[in-house]
Order: sequence, then structure tokens, then C-alpha cells
Amino acid sequence: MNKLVSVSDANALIDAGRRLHIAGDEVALRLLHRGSWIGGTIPYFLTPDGGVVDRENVFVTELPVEVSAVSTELIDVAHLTEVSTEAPPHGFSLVILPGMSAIHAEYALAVEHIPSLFASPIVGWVAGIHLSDLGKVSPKVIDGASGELADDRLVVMHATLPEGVVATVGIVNVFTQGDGDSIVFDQTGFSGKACTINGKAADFLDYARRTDLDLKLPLVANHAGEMINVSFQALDDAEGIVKFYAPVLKGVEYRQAAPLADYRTALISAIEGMHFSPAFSCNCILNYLYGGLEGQQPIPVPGPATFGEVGYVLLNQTLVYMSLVKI
Amino acid sequence: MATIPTASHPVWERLITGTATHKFSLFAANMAIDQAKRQYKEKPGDKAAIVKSLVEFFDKYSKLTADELASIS
Repeated sequence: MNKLVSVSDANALIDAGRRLHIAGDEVALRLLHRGSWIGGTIPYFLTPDGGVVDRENVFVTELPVEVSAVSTELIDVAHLTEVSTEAPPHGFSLVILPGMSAIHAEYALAVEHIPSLFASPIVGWVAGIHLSDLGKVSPKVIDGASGELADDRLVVMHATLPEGVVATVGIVNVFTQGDGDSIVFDQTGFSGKACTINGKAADFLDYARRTDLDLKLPLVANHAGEMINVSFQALDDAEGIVKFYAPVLKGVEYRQAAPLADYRTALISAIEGMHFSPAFSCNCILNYLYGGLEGQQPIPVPGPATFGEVGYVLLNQTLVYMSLVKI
Repeated sequence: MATIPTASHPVWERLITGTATHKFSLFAANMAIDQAKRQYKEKPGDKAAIVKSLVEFFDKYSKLTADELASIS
């Protein structure tokens, strides 16, 4: 199961002991019974019928039947490494970070230093809110076992798989590096200022203003063949910086993404081209917004449209999925 | 099916120095290599530990990576 359902239907699944991942508006999540599930707030969804804003129903993903055991936990900043170190030897970890929180930023920055980060699959997303609620309410995550909501901790569901089945995490990214300027930042962080551009020292805000950068096109870095985006949040003249939705890494070469002829078509085609039906998936709210996916056309791979995606590391403008593979 | 080379095999040094490049079908493999490359660039003295961690990753996912790794070994 990977679809929008009513709160009462979700509660029936919870009461039946199903192991679930649930995304929905905070009001709806608060109506859910305790059970074997984790959740996060978001009212934007990609469904087989198109993108929708729904504050009444919840998006439920039932974990695969192969999962033999689960445990859930809220984790604070001081214990971030437990996402990896407490993972089962054979299984995967599904995480949800409360957006715009300290732990959201800390996870993105600290993940580089988490020991054995790639030893066990980590997949998930960043909880958000309706854009009209910005500044009014905070994104939250919830541990369904206790019913506790949090906006300062992440929630994780560690799932165990039997021998012979492995979880694999993948991404669908429509962007590639363009053939423009080479940008290398002096510091790791969610903002950019001092950098080198084509080898010469520069101020990134000045560069962004001078070249009139299209902020819908992310910066893209080539991570051993994987194109990883960092999306623009804003040009901040007051602070003299450019803000991003994920950290840029010191010393890594970025180039702005090559323009897309048609964002929506590129996105849908890329997803359709995968020919898959993942056990879990989520897509970025920026793809939802910039791609004009709301109420438009069938979406091949459904899931919440999130404030960031997690495929081990924090990702932007990317569809993230997890599949089970028999080996 | 191919096997994963031991830590002393030169393929690991080629991967973490970037002299060998290959996009694996497994997303995590590429990300693990990328992390190892950055760690090695920052602390070359940690080479043994970095390679050990990479070998452990590929051992765990040997059935999904061994044949591709063999193609560049």
C-alpha cells in the first residue's frame, strides 16, 4: 500500500498491527491511534491522479511483508549517530526530520561524519507544512508507538529483513551539471559566500546577482557519478549570502544544472523510465511546485512531496526511493 | 560471480584517488566511494581505515557490486 487514505482507514490498518509510514497534516496525524508506525507532517502529495494538497487524509505506506521486525525511536541532536549505529545488521532505516529545525541542519552537516553511514540503508524525508502556514506552525515528526510529536528530534523506524533480501536506495534526478561556471565553496554550510569561480576568488551572492542565476535550477555536484543537487532558498542581501536547502560541501565542485526544456515532462519521463514500483518513495516539494505537478497528470510513483529527501544524505529536488532486492 | 578484492588490491587506491572511475548501479556504492575520496583527500594518513570501511561496504553488497567492481579491477 502506498496511497492517500482516510484517517479512519489508517487507524484500521494501525489497529490491525500493520507496520506503516504515514505522512499528513498535523491535525490528521494527531487523530491516529498508537501502533507500529512513524509519521511526519506534510499536506502535499503526489498520487496516481496527480499532485494534491490534502489536509484531511493521510498518505500511508505499508512496509513490505518481508520486514520481520521494527523498532521506532525519536532521536535528538546529541544522539544523531544512532540513526546508523542502532540500525539492524540486516535491514534498513526509515527517517523523518522535522524541517527548518536544528536537527534538520545538524543531520545534513553531521551525516558526513557518521561512522559506517553506508553500512545500512537510510531513506526518508524532511517534514514540512502548508506554505501558507510558514512562520505559524512548525513541521513535526511523530513516533506512532508512543504518539509523541516532536519538532526538535528526528524519528526513525529501524526495520529488519531476512537473509536473502536487501534494501537498496535510489534516486531519480532530472538535473545534470550544466556547462557553465565551476563553483567551489570555501566552507561547508547551508549558505554560500566566499568561493572560487573558475579558479578565481569570488563572492557568491555578487555572482548570483551579476549573472541573474535562475534559482529554480539547483547547483549540482558529481559525487562519483551521482548527480546531487543543492537547491537555492534565497538571495539574502542583508546577510550577504546565498541560502540553500541543503549544505554545499567545502572543496566540492558545483555547476548550475543544465536548463530543462520542460520541467514537468522531464520529471515524469524520468520517473516513468525507471519502470519500477518501490517499497517507499518521496519527491521534493520543489519538483511539485516548479514542475507544476499539482492536479496535472498521473504521477508514476506516488508519495509525499517533501521539504527535503534523505538518501543517506540530505537531498534536494530529487525523488528518493527504496526497493527490496532478492539476492 | 566475481569476489570482492581484499584491502591490499590496488583497485581501492585507484577508487579513492579517483584514478579509477565507474558509476555503479547501486546508489550507495557511488556515495560511499565519494565519501571515501573526500576523506582520503582530507586525511591521506587514514588510507588503511578508509579502504577497510569501503571493503566492508562492498563485501556486504557483494552480490550487487562484485561484477561491476571486477570490471575495473
